Amino acid sequence: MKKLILGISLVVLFVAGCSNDSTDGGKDSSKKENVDVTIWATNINVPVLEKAAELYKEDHPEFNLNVEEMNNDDIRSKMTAGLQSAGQGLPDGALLVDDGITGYVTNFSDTFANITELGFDEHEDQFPQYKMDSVSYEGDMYAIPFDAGPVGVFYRADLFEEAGVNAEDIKTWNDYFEAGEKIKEVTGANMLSFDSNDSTVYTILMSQQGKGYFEQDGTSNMDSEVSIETASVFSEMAERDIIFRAPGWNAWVASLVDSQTATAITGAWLIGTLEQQVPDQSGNWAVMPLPSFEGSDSRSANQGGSSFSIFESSDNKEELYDFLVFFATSTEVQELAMEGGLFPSYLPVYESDLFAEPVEYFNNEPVWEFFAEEMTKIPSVFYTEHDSLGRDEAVKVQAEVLEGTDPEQSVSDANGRIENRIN
Amino acid sequence: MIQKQIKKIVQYVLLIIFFIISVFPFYWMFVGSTNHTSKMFTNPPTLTVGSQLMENLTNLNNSVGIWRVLFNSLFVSLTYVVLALAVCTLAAYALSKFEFKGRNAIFITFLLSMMIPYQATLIPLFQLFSELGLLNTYFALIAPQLCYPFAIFLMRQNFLAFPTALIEAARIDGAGELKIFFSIVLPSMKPALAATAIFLFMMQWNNFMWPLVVLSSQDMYTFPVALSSLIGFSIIDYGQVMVGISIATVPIIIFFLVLQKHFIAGMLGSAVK
Amino acid sequence: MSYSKWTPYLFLAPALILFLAFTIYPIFASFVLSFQTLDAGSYIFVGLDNYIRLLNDTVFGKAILNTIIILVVQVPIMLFLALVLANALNNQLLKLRGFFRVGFFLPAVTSLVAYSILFSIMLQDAGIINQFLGFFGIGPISWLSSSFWAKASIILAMTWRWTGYNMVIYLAAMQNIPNELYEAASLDGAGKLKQFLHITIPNLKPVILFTAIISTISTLQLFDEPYNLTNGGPADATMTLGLYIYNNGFRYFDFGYASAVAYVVVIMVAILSYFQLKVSGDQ
Repeated sequence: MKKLILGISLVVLFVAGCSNDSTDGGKDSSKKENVDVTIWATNINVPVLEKAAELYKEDHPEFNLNVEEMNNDDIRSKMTAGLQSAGQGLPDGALLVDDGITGYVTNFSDTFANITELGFDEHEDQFPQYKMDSVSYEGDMYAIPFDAGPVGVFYRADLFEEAGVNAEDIKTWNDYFEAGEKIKEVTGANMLSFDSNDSTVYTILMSQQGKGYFEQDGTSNMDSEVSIETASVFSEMAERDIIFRAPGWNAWVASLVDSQTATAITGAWLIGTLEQQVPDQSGNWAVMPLPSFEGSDSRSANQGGSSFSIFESSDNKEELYDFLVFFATSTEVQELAMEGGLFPSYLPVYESDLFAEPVEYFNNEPVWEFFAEEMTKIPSVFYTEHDSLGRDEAVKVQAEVLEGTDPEQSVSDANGRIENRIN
Repeated sequence: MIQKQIKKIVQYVLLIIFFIISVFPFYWMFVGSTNHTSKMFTNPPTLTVGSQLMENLTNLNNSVGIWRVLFNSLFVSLTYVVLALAVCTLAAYALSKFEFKGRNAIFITFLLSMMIPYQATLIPLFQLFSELGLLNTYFALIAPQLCYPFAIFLMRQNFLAFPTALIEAARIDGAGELKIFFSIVLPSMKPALAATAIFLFMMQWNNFMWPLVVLSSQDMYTFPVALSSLIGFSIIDYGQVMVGISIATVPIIIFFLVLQKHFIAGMLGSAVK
Repeated sequence: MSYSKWTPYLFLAPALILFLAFTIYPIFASFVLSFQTLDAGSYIFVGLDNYIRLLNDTVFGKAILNTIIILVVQVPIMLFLALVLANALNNQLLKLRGFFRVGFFLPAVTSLVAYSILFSIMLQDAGIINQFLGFFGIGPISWLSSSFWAKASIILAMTWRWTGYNMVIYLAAMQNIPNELYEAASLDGAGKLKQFLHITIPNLKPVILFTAIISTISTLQLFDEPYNLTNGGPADATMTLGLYIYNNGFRYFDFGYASAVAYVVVIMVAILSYFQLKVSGDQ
C-alpha cells in the first residue's frame, strides 16, 4: 500500500511538473496591448539588449523583451533543429554570427524576415558596405547589422622592443616573417599563435584579399591563387619555425597569457578578452594593421561580427523590427555596446568621443579609433551556404602545410573534397 | 615476508598514482572556482585555493540562477531514474522469466536500437515533440529515454541469475504475478537496481544535446545547458564556469556514495544462489 | 507454467509503447531521411545518392579508419585496467577501499564543459602534463597537434574518463563470485595471479563481454572527445564517425547524408557485436 501511494504521488508530481511552463507566452496577436518578444543572444550582448529595451520602453510601454542567453555553438544547434522543423521552437529573433546567416537563408529562406522589405533601405548609408553585403542574399538583407570585427595585428610591444623590431617597419608579410625570426631569436617567443582547431586566421587572410570561401555562384575558392597565398603564409612561418599551434580557444588564450607569442591576428573583440583574461600584461600590447600581400595594398579585413535576424513565424515581426532598428541606429545604445566590449558597425557612432579616448590597457593608445578607421577600408566578402564546409577544409589545410605539405597540393586536395561534397 | 611487504607497498603506490590522476582535474576545477578568471591560464598553473569563491558564486547566480537550475536538474534526473527503473525493470523481468512469442525478437530490437548514433535521430525526435506541442517541458526531457535498452540489458542479466524455481513455487502457492515480482524477486535485486540507478542518473544529469535543443527558456535549463550558456564568444568568466561545474558535480557524487553501499555490500549475490 | 499468456506483454507494455514512440519512430524517420536531400528548405527523394556519395568520400574513409584504430587500441587497454583495479579493490584487506573507489569513479561524472576546458589546457605544449614529463627528460610532446599524438590523447582521455565506470561494473559483478572458490584455490596453493586468471576472469566473462559491447558501441559513436579537444584535427586525424555525423547534420545542414553515415555505422556495429558474441561463445 505504501508503495502504491508513493507511486501515485510520484505520477502526480510528474504530471504537475510537466504541465508547468509548457505554454508559450505572448502569442496573443490580436490586441497587442502587450508585445512580448524573445531573442537569443550570447552573453556579452545580453546586458546591452536589456538596457536598450529599457530605453525603448519609454516610448513603447507595451514592449517587453526577453533575452535568452546561450553560446554561439548552442544557438547554431538549436537553430538547425528549429529550421528543420519548419520554424518550431524558434524565438522571435536571434543574434546570429554573420558568416552563418547566408547559409541559413539559402536553405530556409521562408523562415527569415526580409529586412529590406521591412524598410531597412533608408538606413543603408549608415552602415559600411561590407557589413551589409555579409548579411545579404540575392540582393536583399536578412539581418539587421550590429557588431563587427575589424581586424588588427595585436602585438606585444615589449617583446618587439626587446628584439629591436619596429612595428611601423612591418609592411608586408615578408617583413612580418623577418621580424618574427628576430623576435624568436632574442625573446624565444613565436611570432604568431593561432587556434589550430579553427579557421580564424585563414579566413582573415582570405578576406584581406577580398575573397570568401566561395563565389556567389557557388564555385569554390579553395584552390584559387588567393587561397594558395594564404596557405603559403602558414607554410613560410612553419619553415622559419615562428608559428605556434594552439588547439582550441582555451589553449590559444593560454598561449597569450604565457607569452608564447608576440602577435595575435583577430578582430577588435580581442580587446575585451585581453583586459579580462590577461590583466597582468596591461601596457604591453599594441595594435597595427595587417601586413600586405605582394601586389596588393589591402591591409584590412573583418573577422566575426553578428547581426539580428527576425523569424517569419513571429507574431510580432514589425514590433521587433522597430525595436531592432532603434537598437542598431541609436548612438546611445551603440555606445553602451562599446562599453560592453562590442565593436559597433553603425557608422555615425564613430564620431563619438569614446573612440578618441586613450585605452589604458594599450599603453593609453586610442585603439578604438584605429579600428574605426579600419571599418571604412574592409573589402566586401560574400558568405554562402557552404561556408562552414570551406572553413572546416581550411583548418585541414593549415594543419597539413604546417606538417610540410606543399600549399598548392594541400589546397587542391581540399578543393577535391569540397567538390565531392557539394556536387 | 619482506617480499610480501614490498608487493603491498607497490600496490598502494600504484593505486595512489591512479587516484591522483583521476582526481587531479577535480581539484583544479575546485581551485578555479575560488580564483579570478585570469588565474585559469597561468603557467605554472594556479593550484592554490583563492578567495573569490563567494564572488564567483554570486556572479554565477546572477547569470544563470543557480538554484533554479539545481532544482530543474534534480527534479528531472530523480523523476527520470524512478520512472525509467520501473519501466526497464518490468521489461527486463518479462524478457528473462517468461516464455512468449517474440521474446528474442523484442530483445534483439532493443539491443540494435542502441547502435543508432543519437546525432542522427535528434531531429526526427525534435520534430515529433514539436508536433505534440511538448517542446520546453519537463516531459520532453524525461520521456524519450525512459525505455533505455542498456538498463533493460543490465537488469535482465541479473534476473537471469535469479532461480526460476522460487518463482514457480510462489505461483503454486497462488501468489499473483505482481506480488511475486514485487515481494519475491525485486528485494533481492537491490544491488542491480542501485547500479542501474547510478548509470541512469549519470546519463540524465549530464545529458546535454537533447535538453539543449528542446529547451527554450532559461527557467527550464538543466546544468549542462546552463553552463554551456556561460561560454561567450570572446569573454568567458572561468571562475563562474568552475563554480557551476563544482556545484553540478556534488549531487552526482552524493548519489553515487549513497547507492554504492548497496551493490558493493557483498554477500548479497551468493545469498540468493 | 501457470501464468496467463498476456502477463509478459503487460510487463513489457510500458517499455514497448515508449520504445515505439521515442526510439523506433525517430530511427525509422532518419532511415527515410537517408534517401533524401535538402533542396531549398524541403527534402526531396534522391534514392541511393547519399550512399553512393559516401563511397567517394575520403573524410568518411578516414573517420572509419580512425574510429577502428581507437576502438582496437582503447577498449582492450581500458577494460584490462578496469579489471585490474576492480580486482585490487575487491580485496577485503585493502585499506581505504571506499576512498579509492569513489576517486576512480569520479572521472565518469565529469561535465563536458569542464572536460573540454581542463583537458585542452593540460594537454597544451607548455601544459602541466608536458611539464611533468619534463622531470623525467621526456618530451615536450605535441599532444593535440600531431596526428599520432592527437589520437593518443583521445585514447588517454577516454581511458581516463571511463575506466572507473567499467571498474564499478566489474566490482559489482565480483560480489557474485562465491568466496569458496577462492578459498579452495588458496588451499590448492594457487597464487593471486592464478586466482585472477582462473577464477575471476572466467566468472566475469558475461560481464566482460557486456562491457566490451557497450564500449564498442560508444566508441563507434565517439563524439565528445574529438569535438571538445581536437575538433577532428589535425587534418582529420581524429575525425570520428560521430563527429562526422554531427558536422554533416548541424554544420552543413545535410541530415540526409548524416543519416546515411549513421546507417553505415549501425551495420558496422551489428557486424562487430555479432562477432564479439561468436568469439566469446554463447551469451
